[in-house]
Amino acid sequence: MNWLTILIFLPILSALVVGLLPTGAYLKKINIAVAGLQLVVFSWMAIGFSTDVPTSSEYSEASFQFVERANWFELGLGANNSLDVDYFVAVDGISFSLIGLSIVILIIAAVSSLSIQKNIKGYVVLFLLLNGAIIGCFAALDLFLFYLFFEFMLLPMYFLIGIWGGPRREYASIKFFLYTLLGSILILIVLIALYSSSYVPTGVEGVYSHSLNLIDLSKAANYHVEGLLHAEQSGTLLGLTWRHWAFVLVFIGFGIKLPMFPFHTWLPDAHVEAPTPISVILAGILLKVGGYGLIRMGYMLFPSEANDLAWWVALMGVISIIYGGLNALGSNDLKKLIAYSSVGHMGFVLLGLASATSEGVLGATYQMISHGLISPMLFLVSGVLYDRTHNREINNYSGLASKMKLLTVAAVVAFFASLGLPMFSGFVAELLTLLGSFKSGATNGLLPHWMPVVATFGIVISAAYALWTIQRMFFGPFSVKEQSWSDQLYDLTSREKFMLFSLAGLILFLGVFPSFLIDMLDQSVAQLLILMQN
Amino acid sequence: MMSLEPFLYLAGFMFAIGFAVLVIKRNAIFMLVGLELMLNAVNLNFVVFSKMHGTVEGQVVAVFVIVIAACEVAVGLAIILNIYKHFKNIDHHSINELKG
Amino acid sequence: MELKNLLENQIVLLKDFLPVGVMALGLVVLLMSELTALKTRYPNAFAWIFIVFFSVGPLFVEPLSVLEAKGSFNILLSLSALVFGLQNWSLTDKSRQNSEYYALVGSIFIGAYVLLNTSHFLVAIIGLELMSIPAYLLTCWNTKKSSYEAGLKYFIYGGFSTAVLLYGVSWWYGATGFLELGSIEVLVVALNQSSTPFVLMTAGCIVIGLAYKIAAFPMHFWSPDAYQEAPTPVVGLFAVVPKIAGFVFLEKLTLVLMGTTHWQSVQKIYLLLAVLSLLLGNLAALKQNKAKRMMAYSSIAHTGFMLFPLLHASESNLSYFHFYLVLYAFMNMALFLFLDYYERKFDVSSLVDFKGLGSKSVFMGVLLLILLISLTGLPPTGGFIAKLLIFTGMYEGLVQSGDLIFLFILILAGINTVIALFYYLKIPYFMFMKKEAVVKKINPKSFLVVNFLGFILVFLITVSFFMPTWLMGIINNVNFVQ
Repeated sequence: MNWLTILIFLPILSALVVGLLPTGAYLKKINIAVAGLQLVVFSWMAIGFSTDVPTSSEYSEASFQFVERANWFELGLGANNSLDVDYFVAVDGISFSLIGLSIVILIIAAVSSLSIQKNIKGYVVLFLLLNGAIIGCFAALDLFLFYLFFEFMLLPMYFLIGIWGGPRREYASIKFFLYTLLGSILILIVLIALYSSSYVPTGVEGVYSHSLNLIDLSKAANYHVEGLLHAEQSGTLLGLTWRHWAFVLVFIGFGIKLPMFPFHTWLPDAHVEAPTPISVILAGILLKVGGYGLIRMGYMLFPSEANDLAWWVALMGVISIIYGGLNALGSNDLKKLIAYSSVGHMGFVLLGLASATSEGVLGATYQMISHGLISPMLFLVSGVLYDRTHNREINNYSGLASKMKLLTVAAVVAFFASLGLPMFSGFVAELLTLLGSFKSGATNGLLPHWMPVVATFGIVISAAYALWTIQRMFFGPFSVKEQSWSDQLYDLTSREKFMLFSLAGLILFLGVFPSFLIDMLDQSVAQLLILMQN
Repeated sequence: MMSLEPFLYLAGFMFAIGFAVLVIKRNAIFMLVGLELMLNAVNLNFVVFSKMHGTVEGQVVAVFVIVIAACEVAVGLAIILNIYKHFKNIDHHSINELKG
Repeated sequence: MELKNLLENQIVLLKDFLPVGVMALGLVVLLMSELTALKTRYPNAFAWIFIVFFSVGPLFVEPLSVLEAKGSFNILLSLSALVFGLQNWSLTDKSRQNSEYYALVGSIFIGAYVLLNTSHFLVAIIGLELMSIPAYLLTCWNTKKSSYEAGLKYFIYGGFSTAVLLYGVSWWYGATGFLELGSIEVLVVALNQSSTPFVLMTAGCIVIGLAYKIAAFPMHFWSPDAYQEAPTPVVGLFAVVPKIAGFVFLEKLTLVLMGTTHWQSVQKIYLLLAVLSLLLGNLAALKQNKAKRMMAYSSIAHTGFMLFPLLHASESNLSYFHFYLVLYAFMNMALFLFLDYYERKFDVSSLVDFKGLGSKSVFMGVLLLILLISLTGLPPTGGFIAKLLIFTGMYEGLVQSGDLIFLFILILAGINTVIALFYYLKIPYFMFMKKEAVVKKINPKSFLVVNFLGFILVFLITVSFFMPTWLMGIINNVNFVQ
């Protein structure tokens, strides 16, 4: 049995087992134990993970590691067609590091879940199902499997926000569900077009099959000449070829998840209403699924179309950066501020990908990991305050540093990392992205120079709101809105220390030793770039 | 031999009148009458076409349609009777408890 | 020698009539047993008589072919009868402990069987009426004021659609001289000689007449009222049995029409019906507050979905259509089984009544959740595969005909999936996210049989996601057009 399969199905099977156990607080510990066990498995895999995979002119199974492939079903469609779906999981550097990030965040979220009191059994079951779906989503290389896990994340998330969330949880959860479902319908349409257009030799002379295998689909030779998505298909709609349209649909579909302006409006609602551990997962992992999906389904399958539309992709990225930043600047609710800052930071992912340079794409993937650590930390900080006072209004607090020293340290680290100060992981990511997009203007001419300039201005905005928030909430004379709060504001508990400082440690580590992660990503990014630069 | 076309026009006319009665009349019994008229137009059509094609199938259908019409009327009247019992009238505009 | 031939012919004839004969015998036995003391001594006996005759009856078509998995819609009929019988047996209710109830339902089954297995218009009309007339009466079964109203509406629409259908058939007969749909080539030649407006009128009348049975757009008005007022197990039948039979007959008609030169225009009728059913069904379902009424509109939307493959009835598209039809049948059988369960056990009729029931019966709640996910068409349920196949069919239509209308449908169907999610989620939303307001009385009776049936059906629906091949394998082996 493959290690990846164990990583995926361990939580799902545990969910079934937990479903049969009597309810009780001990289930929350089982939840942590499962994630911990996954970390052990992951570390074991990391030792065997090779950072030196040779690149070639196109993707092959050799570009991936820990490959497991088994036939799932062949659905006969009409007379001579069949839809071949494989259970096909494997990882390259990008997905492997994202799985690592997921497991870390899941452990943090599981620890943070210890404060959940309501309906523990249901919570743990849904949490574990979500866990399995996340890992599966990053590991799947068959689009059907990917789509299965992608959709399967929605339902546990819907209930986790809707049952354990804040006062407007119902509105937020249904909005989250509808937006994401709309995105996934767009993806589904592309998925159908992909497998109907594909025409993969089965090995037997003259027999072809429709495949959803990402590796097969990334090769131009595997498309039927008459299929809409064949590279030389001449048909157009409104001036764009069908392949361009497919990329647009994928872009919007995953852009909703990312989230990208103007499809971001579900995010502030979902974040504000979700309980802290779920906010952590949402910001830390689920947004990255959007970026990862865009890389896998957008850039890997439609690289030249992506380059044709790079200007638009980057534009959306830049708008998201500025728009997210300005909105964060105007937010008074701490969680809303962090949610909008996520919109801004994920804009860098789009900008980096659009640049089609090694720095840019590396920066984009680095940003996904880095933001996956920073924003959960910010949410934990806001969660700590909310636990104490059930209030998140920035204006209601002032001078917290005098009462909560450790929390202030954590908040300062998190906000500094978020604004991209050197020594923190965000700096590496955003620097690489901006370098890449400047270089793009000089070399391949995809992006005009004003875009990285405007994006740099976005960093200034994020510095503004981060510093302003720290100054308003943590420094100055101590005062809180209601007198009773000042007794409730005790400093971090040991559990909170564990969560915040382990994240802070990782953020600093990735900021000081970027080569650790870059080594892991480098070959995979190079492989992707070979496709994009052709 | 007499042309068969006028019969088709007649049938079409009857069908149209039946339809109009069904739509315009508010009394459930009249609606039933409209239905009957439509079904009889159908019968006329079938018989005419049967004569035209020289096959007997059309006439067989006509006989069956008469049976069907009889069954429908029986059930329909039973329902209308109960409607009268509950609503104290059979004006279908005033029978509107169910909405949505 | 002649005598022997004649006898053999008679035997063949007899064999064809065997299923109908068995079911008709069932009717007689049911009605006769009312005269005996059976009712007082064994109140459940009727349910068992029903199960014996009507779940076995449809399988008597060439017994061997059943084993070869041919005529799977007959199997579906028999399965539906089994579910219906068991459901009524386990949820014993005074008003359902009499033979007329089962006899009326039995008549629906005979009608559906006849309609499923014929391609002759006259027989089809008899089948349609055998389904419709008992259905009017069953709608009034609860003998309430509002149920008579629903019955009257159902009756008026039914009578009207029968008349329109017959009028269309009479012109069809006039144009072609045939009432049999079997010989497609002959019919196509005859229809090609007629003018397009004439064929449009004729086909339009017939399609609209059939639209009544499948509850598609212009003739759908009866269905929300009838669904709301009829006894829930009967609603389960309304949603499944006549719909399948009607769709299969419509498919046979479509196969003739699509061969003619008028198809381009006739297709528009289908398109209009499909798009409007889908939109109206989904949009109207959004604002319902009664569970059964909402599901009636959802069923109208599903009709719209199932009409799409008929727009481009290629061989592969028809197999997608059959797949969807079979899954639709499973899902709706299960759906109304669950609604009946909640109605019996917790006295649920409005959506709000589902409040907090998730914690009262976790098992059924989770099963119902999976079922609703499947109705929406999300993985990991069979509903997803069914929807995927319909989408694929539309994509194939786009590629093969180059008609951008299919792209429009693809997008519309996608948007509608999102709308559908919105109202399907209402039930789990109330069940799991709301606390119960007042403690209502709970029927202490055990519902083991219903729990078990629900589990089996939901299991089948889920299995058809993980192993769609078995269902598709059966479907691809069926010869639908006799």
